[in-house]
Amino acid sequence: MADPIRQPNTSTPAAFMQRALDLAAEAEKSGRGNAYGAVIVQEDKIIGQGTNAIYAQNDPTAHGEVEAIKDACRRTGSNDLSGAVIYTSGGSPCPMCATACYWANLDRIFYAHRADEITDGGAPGYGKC
Amino acid sequence: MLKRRALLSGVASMWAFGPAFVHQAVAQSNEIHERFIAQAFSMRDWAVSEGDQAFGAIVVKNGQVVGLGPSRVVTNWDATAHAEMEALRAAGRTLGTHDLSDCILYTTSPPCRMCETAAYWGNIERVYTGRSISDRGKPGYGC
Repeated sequence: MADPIRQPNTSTPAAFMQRALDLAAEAEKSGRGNAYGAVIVQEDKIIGQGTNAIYAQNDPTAHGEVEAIKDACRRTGSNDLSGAVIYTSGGSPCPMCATACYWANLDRIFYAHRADEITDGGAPGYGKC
Repeated sequence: MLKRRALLSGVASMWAFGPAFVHQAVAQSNEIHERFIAQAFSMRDWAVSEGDQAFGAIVVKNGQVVGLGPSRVVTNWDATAHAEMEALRAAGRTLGTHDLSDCILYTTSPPCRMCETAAYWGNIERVYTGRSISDRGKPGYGC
């Protein structure tokens, strides 16, 4: 996704989560994918964004979180996103997305159905295997 | 009913033709798996030659390779571009759908939790890994 990143007016967790929720709504409305979106935030700036795009890209791996990580990697020119966190819409990320956050070295996962009810999912782990 | 009849006739033919028939069928399927796992290893060699991590994977449908996946974590600066993920993405592009039912994933190493779950989302039928071609069955949600 080469679209320019729209930064929220305020650098609050609720504002970042609202962007993720807005991206989710866009994905569903445009038919790109299911209603999931995510943003990667580093030093109070969104450095990557993504929506579920499994239909538009014919890609079973194109969940919102994975697309946001790919976008942040592309824009920063690095596969190491240490120091960044992810805000993602919906419930707790699936094992694919949670492990993708782990591989990208993200510091923390926040998820929410509503911008004013954010759950801190903690640091991503590899999980039990 | 049809399934049951097919199963019964299968059992009957095994009884009729004896163990040699079964042995031949197993040898034939091993040969097919060996050919595909070799292609997964050639993807690994390719990844290494490009300066990437030593992993490779391919997706096969009806005996045809539909997705090639060398690891592209380093070359694409993409933390999610494990070999299995790249093979699944390529298969989706080839087949024009995110639903990879009836596809088999061959991979050089046991998949990580991300890749295992990606194969689950893609409805992959079966996963085979490594030189020993060990059968990991249908991918699960998590591991």
